[in-house]
Amino acid sequence: MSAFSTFLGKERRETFRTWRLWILPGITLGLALLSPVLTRLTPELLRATANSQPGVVIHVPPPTARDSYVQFMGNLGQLVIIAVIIAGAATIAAERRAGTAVLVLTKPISRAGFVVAKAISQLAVLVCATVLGVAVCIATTVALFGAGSIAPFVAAAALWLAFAAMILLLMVMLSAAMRSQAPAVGAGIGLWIGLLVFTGFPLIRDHSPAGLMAANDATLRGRDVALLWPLVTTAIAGAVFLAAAIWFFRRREL
Amino acid sequence: MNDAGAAAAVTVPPAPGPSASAAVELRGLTKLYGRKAALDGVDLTVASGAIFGFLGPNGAGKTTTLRILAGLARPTAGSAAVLGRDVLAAGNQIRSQIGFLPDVPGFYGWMTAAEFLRFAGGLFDLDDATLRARVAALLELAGLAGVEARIGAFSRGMKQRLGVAQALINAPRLLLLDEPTSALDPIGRKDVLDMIAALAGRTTVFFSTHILADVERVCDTVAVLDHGRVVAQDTIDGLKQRHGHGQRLLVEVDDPARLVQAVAALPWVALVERSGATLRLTVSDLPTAERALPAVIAAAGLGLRRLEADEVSLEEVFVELVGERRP
Repeated sequence: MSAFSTFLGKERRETFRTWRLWILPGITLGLALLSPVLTRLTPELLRATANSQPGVVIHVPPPTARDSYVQFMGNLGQLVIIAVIIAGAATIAAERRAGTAVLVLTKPISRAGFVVAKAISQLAVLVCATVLGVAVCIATTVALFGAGSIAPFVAAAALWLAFAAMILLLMVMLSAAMRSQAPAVGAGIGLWIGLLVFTGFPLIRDHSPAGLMAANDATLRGRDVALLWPLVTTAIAGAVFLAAAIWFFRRREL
Repeated sequence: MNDAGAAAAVTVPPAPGPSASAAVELRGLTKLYGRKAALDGVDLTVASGAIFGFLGPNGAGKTTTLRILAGLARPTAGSAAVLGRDVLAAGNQIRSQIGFLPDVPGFYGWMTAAEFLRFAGGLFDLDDATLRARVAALLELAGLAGVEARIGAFSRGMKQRLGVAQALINAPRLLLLDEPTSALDPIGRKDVLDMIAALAGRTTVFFSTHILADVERVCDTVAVLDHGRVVAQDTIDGLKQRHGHGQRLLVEVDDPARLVQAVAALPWVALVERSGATLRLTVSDLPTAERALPAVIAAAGLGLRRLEADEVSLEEVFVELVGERRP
């Protein structure tokens, strides 16, 4: 077994035997269960609030399966992205801080191999968490609301996954470039907010990864959205972030 | 002490390029952090097979040197060659032949000792049979055979012994150990030193420390680093002979008080210390003292019971070399 596959195997076992399992998959699965339930309960909660205040009448249309998916996608776009940022910031910084990178990198594994293995393992966790989350959300939604239109939800989740993967690679780069996890988290959140701001500028939004953030709602409604530029720029950005992560880490002294 | 290794590891003159017979060769090695020089033109040669002690006070530059040798840091100037290859250029070719233990080894706390050794061996692409045999042998050597606890629950001593074991998983030609016994209790220190001593003649050990007793116990050659410079390199005996401040004689006579009076004014006596019936004379000229002292004792009418040279300790040599320069 090569050094790279040995290290990748360590990453896989570490995912199942440490807190790592509970960050992204735990949060995603929790939200996949809670989002449909909260969507189902929202009208009752609002009516209970209205009943406690005389004179207040709230009309809420009956929630649908699409509302459940919109709720979950909203949570993915905010809470889970923050979890991706935090988990991604630890990718390399945590190994440096713990001193484990020193023991590993004085053995015959290259720094590029180290970074790529870390990125692959984090991406695998993200993909698995998303697939499981989508499956659980669909199952819960079908149980609570009956069968809705699943294809647009799956398409929206796939777009989110592409965006989240790029954010994860951005965080791998920041984790390699910065001295510790905290500033990497700060920079990651700052850049993510910057992309959110870009969604308000159509020209930039339609030709950058910000287009994927704005495409969720339209995709869930089954509308056609021009996604070529956002997808291409997201893929390029992800590749550049990974290459930059390797470049930074090769220059870093341990 | 390994006499064969000591004979082979005496300081050699600087060579123009990396020497194939040297396990470690540093030429003008300089490392700057901002304007501060952690290493300031270090020249050092360690012969293959030596158990080499790299001595120096805290902050002298020992860890920086080891980090450069292990490929974890880059020199600002100069060169570092390991097993005849430049460490910057050789990469994996060098790393496959060295073992490294940092001063505070970081392990994956969720692994057991056996799992970590298998992981470390996997990074060297060892075949299954070799890996199984080495893991079993090294767990035994480290006193960790049968320990099923996760490393996160290990004591500092257990981690240090595991650190030495993981550094040996590839049967390295060169073992780099950074302060392997610091912060260990006496039993932990003994265990680690026994492991190092057991390697004599099989692998070159480059061992940094500021614990002089450890060096005297296991090393055959030493270098003393101070403020980023090598101030001495030799065998331990050679260092004592060249750098011992003054030389001493131990004398026992039937009336020590009278001998103190008799020798106090002699020009070659620098210091007289009394401990019970034994006098320790620090002399400026040992051959003269050895010839003249019996006559002085006889002239004073004293009975001589013991007269022998007192060995200068490595600690005294160390203090002479670096003590006065410290702020």
